[in-house]
Amino acid sequence: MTKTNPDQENLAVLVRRAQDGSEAAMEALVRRFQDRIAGLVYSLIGKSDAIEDVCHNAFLKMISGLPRLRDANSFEPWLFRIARNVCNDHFRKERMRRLFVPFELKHEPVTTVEHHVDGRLDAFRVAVEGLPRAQKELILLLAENDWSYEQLAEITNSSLSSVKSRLFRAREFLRGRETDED
Amino acid sequence: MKTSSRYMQHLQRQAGGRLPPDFAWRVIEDAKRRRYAFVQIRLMVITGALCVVTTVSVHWLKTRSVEKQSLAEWTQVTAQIQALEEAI
Repeated sequence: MTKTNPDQENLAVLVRRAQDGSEAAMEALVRRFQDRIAGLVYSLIGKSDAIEDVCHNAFLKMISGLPRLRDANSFEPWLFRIARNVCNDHFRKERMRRLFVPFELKHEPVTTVEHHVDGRLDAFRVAVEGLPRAQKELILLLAENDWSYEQLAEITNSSLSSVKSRLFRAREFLRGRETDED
Repeated sequence: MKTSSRYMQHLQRQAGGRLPPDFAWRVIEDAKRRRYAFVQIRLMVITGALCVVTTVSVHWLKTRSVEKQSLAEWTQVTAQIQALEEAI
């Protein structure tokens, strides 16, 4: 019998194996999604020093929540929803922490992703930073993957109509800033 | 490719590079540690609950037995008093 490499396995099969308690499958799932989740976390929280902690927490929640995931095929939006919620928890903790830590200049830059060499990427970054958070996360999620509106609603825990209207407004805003987002 | 997708890929590369090479292994180890700690805490809570239930049960049984004994003695004393009063 040939042994399959967990990194190459079909996602739904891998998820089911992880749900059955296979540590190798869990590790393969983390490896498969770690860069994508890290990218999303970085784009949402904007601080590179917190990426590892936030991703770590997101994947821990993924592992503890796996037995409760009913449909293995909806794993991906489910995982991104977890990552988004962990980012929100991080924001909440940061806000609480800021209440008790005296303000210093080093605390000032809160959500700024590093500058890029490419001017168009930099222009896009600046434009996205100008969006309200709910619109920004939708644009970033769509930039990350070709999610459907239903999946976006599931990830962001909002209704289909609010996803559509937020995306419409965000795209209008970005068009006004002359980025090629459509 | 759209600028937004290129931007995201750029971020993924940058952010992915910030994760240690053994990131996945660390997550799994931490999850195992937490599961073990959770099992231990659950055992502690169950043991504590059992101790409380045992203590309350023993106390209740003992109190009941003492009450029963006292009542029996009191009935006996009452009967003796009544007999004495009748004799007088």
